[in-house]
Amino acid sequence: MRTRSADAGLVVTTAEGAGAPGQPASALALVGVSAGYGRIPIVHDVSIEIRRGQIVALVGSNGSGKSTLMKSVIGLLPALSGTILLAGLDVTAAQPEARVARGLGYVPQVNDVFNRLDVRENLEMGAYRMRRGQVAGRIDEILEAFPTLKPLIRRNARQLSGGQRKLVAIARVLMTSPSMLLLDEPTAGLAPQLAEEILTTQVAVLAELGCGVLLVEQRVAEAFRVADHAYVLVNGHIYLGGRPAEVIETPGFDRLMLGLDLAVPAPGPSAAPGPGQESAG
Amino acid sequence: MSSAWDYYLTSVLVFFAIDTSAGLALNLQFGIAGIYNFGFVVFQAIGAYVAGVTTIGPPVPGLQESYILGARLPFPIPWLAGAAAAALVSLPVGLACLRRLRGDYQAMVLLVFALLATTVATDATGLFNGASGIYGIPQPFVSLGLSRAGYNWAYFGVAALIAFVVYLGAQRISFSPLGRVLRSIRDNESAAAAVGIGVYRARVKVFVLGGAVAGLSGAVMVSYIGAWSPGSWAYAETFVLLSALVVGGSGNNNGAVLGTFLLPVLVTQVIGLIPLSTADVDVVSSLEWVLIAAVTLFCLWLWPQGALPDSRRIRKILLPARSAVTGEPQS
Amino acid sequence: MSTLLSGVGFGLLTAALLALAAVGFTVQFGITNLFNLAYAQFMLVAAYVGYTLTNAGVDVWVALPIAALAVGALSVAVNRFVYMPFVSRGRALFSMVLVTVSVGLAVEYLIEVFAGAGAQQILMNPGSTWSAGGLVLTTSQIIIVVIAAIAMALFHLLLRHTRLGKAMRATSSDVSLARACGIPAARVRDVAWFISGVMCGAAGVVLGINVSFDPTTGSSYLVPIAAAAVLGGIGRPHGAMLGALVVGVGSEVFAAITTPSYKDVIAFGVLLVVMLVRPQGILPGSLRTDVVEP
Ligand SMILES: Nc1ncnc2c1ncn2[C@@H]1O[C@H](COP(=O)(O)OP(=O)(O)OP(=O)(O)O)[C@@H](O)[C@H]1O
Ligand SMILES: [Mg+2]
Repeated sequence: MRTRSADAGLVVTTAEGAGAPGQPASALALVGVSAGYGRIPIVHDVSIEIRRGQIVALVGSNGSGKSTLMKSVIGLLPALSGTILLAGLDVTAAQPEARVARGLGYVPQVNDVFNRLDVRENLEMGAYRMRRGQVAGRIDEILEAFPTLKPLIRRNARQLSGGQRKLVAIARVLMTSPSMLLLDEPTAGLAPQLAEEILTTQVAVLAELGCGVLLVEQRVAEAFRVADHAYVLVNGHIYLGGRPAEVIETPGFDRLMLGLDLAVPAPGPSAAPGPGQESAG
Repeated sequence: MSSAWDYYLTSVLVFFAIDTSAGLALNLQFGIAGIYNFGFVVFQAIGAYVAGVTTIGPPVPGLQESYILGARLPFPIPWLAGAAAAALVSLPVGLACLRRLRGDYQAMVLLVFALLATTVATDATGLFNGASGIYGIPQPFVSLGLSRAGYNWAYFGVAALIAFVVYLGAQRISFSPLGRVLRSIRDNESAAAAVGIGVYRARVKVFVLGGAVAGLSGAVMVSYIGAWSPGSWAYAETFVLLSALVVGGSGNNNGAVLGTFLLPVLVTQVIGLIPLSTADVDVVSSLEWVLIAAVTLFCLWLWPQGALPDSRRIRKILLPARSAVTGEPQS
Repeated sequence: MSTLLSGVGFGLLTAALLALAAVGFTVQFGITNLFNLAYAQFMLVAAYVGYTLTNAGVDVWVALPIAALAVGALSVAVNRFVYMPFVSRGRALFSMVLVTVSVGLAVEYLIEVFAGAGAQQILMNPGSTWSAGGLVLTTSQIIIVVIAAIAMALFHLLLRHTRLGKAMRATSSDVSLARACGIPAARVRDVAWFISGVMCGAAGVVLGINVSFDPTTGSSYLVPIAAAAVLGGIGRPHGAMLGALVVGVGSEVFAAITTPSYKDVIAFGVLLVVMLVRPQGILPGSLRTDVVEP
């Protein structure tokens, strides 16, 4: 545990621009993070690094702990151990609102809109930290990117369909142009075409603009197509990590996606790929 | 032992026995079934009133009294009538309050019910003689011709016997399948709600059963003190019993007995022993309530499971979906 | 007919009191997801502060805002230093009921220690009497109704058109999501408790002007307050305003044509019927899923 934290120190110095030229800065680094709902961890010792402009896909079976990890990154659940670095800054003990203020955005898997607010007010809440004068203009820009929301703007969020709610949630998180985005199954409930579009255009474009994205997805194929890096979470442990094409080719990948451990434990390096490994690549 | 001391001690014992029955009944509803019955004292009051008016006889003409049912029935009947009346009223109240709604909503409605009942008993003067209440209720065992202390001992014997029977019944229910169902509701309301109508029935059952025992305890009380009026049963009286359960260990019948001994009996009596000038009596009796409230908060903070925890408490698995709520405390 | 109209007149006054009180109560539920059963006792604190100030020669219209602000501060303090610590310590939601009742009881009897058990009333010059076809109100009563109406209008504007108000609604809708949006939920909660405490305090002073009160008066007001809040759908301020109007005018009119002492019975009847038939309240819209078990 302690040695991992020491590793983290190294990562930070390289990530903060002082390191290798041409390497984009670290947007988010998790170092040995464990998290859970009481005192018992559900995800264990997760280490992931996401650089600016990078899309990292996190996949795993139902109940493997993906959402739990996301909640601890945004700060709704405390990290039971480990360190969370946002753009190189230790935010492990910070409140969610402080993390959002530092550029973190989060789309939850469920309860993703404010039911008692209308769509416009939902978007305004996404811009809670923005200067008042800029909000209206930003809403117009966002509506240009999500034209389907235009006719719904005064509709109560409670009255929206599941897909429309998801769109509102995604639009809301984009209000402030976050530099690091946590998307927990952003395409769940969307039509395949729209899902494809969200992933390949919205998310990919965001990444091109320099945003780091941690993407939890059930649509593994689509997610891996846009992702730069992929991890597989099994029972709260990172089992596999690497380039999406390699991960998906790994023997036993299907078994892992069903939440079954491999008969033979995964080989050492990829069992828990630390950020150090990745920055070396 | 002087006879004054003997008299004092025995009257405390009588109150302890009566409070024990009541505490056990409330423990069934609150400790085991998780129903915050803030209206508990109302059912005690109903038992007391009905037992009173069926003992005292019809209103004396010219005394400006009015109450219903005025009858002079022989000894055990008024008590049974009190218990039955309380059970009768708790049935519709239970049916109405225990449906679907979440626990704190129920608690609020039952509290409001208790507040309203006081108003009605005070204002509907034809019911139980309004604010003056009924008084001069004959004592049941006077025909035995005992001394004052001797009478108290006899009365204590009866009240203790009732408390003992209630204890046995409570223990039995507590460890029966019904008790298990009720505990599971208490410990995991949302999952238990999925069980459906059976759960509702089980809760109404203990609500009515508890109501009957509450009524009986009120009847035993009124026959002892001989008078009953809205001032005797403020909503806060329920709170003392709830606090007793919190302190003693709610869900555990032994804890309920211990709690009623510690709070309503010991604390009240110890405070009562402080020699006071009459001017201070009001202040001290107010401070007594403040003290009970403070003790409750203190215990909820430090030992929410009480001195004798319920060994069958099911560890909470599903937590409320609120980030600030981290879950059930460690025992 | 004239008894009916006088009932309406006094009903408006009661509705004004209830509106202030019930909106505050419902806001506290909405924002922290708990029933503050000490609420009526907080109201009474304001009545006593108002009484003490007017006795010391302060004008009642000056005493009212002072008492209201004091209770605003009191409710923030109680929420922050008593309720929230219990919540974050992980006490199950339901034992919060016991916590709030404990606080209410302690406040009630502390008032008794300091102010005695006797009945008091805030005395003031009622001003001239205005009547319109049997509907009779004094100037001061009209002022009270107007103050309540303005307070409701301002609160409506706050909720609908300011960022703070929207953040309050968002926090009340979903705390976790609000925090994930960067809304400082703890601060928003404090503000909401302050505003609701101010309304509670204003209602308490109005109570002290309307009727004579003693330390136990507060608790009896919980009946119509809860009825108004539940009628409008618990947690919904606009519903509470409507609920206050219905319960206030309805119970006073009922009292005028039958027995005055039974107005609370009407309030409780309303509460029971709503609870059984339509627990989400009379306004359209779905219920708070957490109020009714699935
Ligand atoms: N509020 C909660 N309290 C306690 N345990 C929880 C809570 N939410 C989830 N869990 C548990 O945590 C574990 C991981 O859940 P999580 O939601 O993180 O899985 P997931 O990987 O996101 O699954 P899915 O693909 O279904 O979204 C599960 O075993 C679940 O039972
Ligand atoms: Mg999930």
